[in-house]
Amino acid sequence: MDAIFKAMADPARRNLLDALRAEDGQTLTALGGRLEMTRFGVMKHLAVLEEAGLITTLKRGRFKYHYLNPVPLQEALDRWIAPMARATTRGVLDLKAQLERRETLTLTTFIAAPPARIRGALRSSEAQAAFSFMADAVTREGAALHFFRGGAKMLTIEETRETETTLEARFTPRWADLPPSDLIHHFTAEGAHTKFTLVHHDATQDMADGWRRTLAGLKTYLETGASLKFRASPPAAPDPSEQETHP
Amino acid sequence: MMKPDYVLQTYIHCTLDALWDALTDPATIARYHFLTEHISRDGTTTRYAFAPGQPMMDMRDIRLDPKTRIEQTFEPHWEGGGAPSRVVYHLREEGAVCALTLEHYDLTFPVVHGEGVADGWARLFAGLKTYLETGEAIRFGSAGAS
Repeated sequence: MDAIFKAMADPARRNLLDALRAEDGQTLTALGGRLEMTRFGVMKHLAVLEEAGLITTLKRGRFKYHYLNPVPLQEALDRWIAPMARATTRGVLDLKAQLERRETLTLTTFIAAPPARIRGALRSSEAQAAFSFMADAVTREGAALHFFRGGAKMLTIEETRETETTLEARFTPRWADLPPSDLIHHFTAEGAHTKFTLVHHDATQDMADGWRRTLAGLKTYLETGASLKFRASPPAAPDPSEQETHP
Repeated sequence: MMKPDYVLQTYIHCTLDALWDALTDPATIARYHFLTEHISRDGTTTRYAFAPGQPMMDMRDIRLDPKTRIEQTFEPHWEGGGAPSRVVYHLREEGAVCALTLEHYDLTFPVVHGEGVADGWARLFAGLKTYLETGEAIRFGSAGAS
């Protein structure tokens, strides 16, 4: 392996390899003519390359032809470059870990309805089925609401505690193999409207958009009565985060 | 490219045309803004005032891409409002609804959820969504709806 890197370290030898890459099977004379090198210089460099196994030679009568030998170079690449390619893979895995990292999501919106109406909508399977972006059917089982889409169970939200200003629940994903986590809904009456804050502990970052769509649906449902599922559809334009062009 | 200091995204049942007008026309903003109805246009600057003669802030157009992107300065005049900063709105149609994203850049103080600019943007967007979906002008100010 050392011989390969030593052989590759000299620019004259790299030029010789380039010349053979351009036209394999050249004679000493042809190579010397291409590279403006003395015959002795070419011989000396070719000997180093041959010793490293980077070229092989073939004798035919008075002529000796030089050929590239890719095998040792491929071995060097496999040994030295592939691990770096794996480092890139590592980066992708780190990104995946980053996306799956548990964190607290906090979202706030303001709804033209008193807190009691918002609590009622959150507890009602009919209301949830009307505004939840992920479900087309919602069933109740005791304190738990099960969310279904196309017959498949996507999610279970079970109410665990109620206080004057909060509603707490256990959030159990069914769409993926993810552990349960805790939700806290906060209600603050501000005159005729309510400040509504959702706190999701131990959530993953990719749940944030789902909550934005759910809260948008909840607000629309309570203010207009319309059942609007803010479902993602193929975007007509690139992602906004990629459109930022300011230097 | 600097990373935004604050990002807010919401989904509104409206057309892209209506969303664009609601974000750029001072008379329309004045209907749903959570703090004031005194909003006027002066050349390429939208001026917000608490009351006539009491400036709140200015937003000067940096670049407008109709129905796609709005880039403006954010220049507070209120006490403790901080140095001028910059905001970008991204508008995107998703079938029958629109996705609206706000990015706030160059803030000179940390953003705390539920306070300051974060609270202000959440109130403004709530009013915008209600106005576009119901036609009702509700100001989601902290003192209650007017």
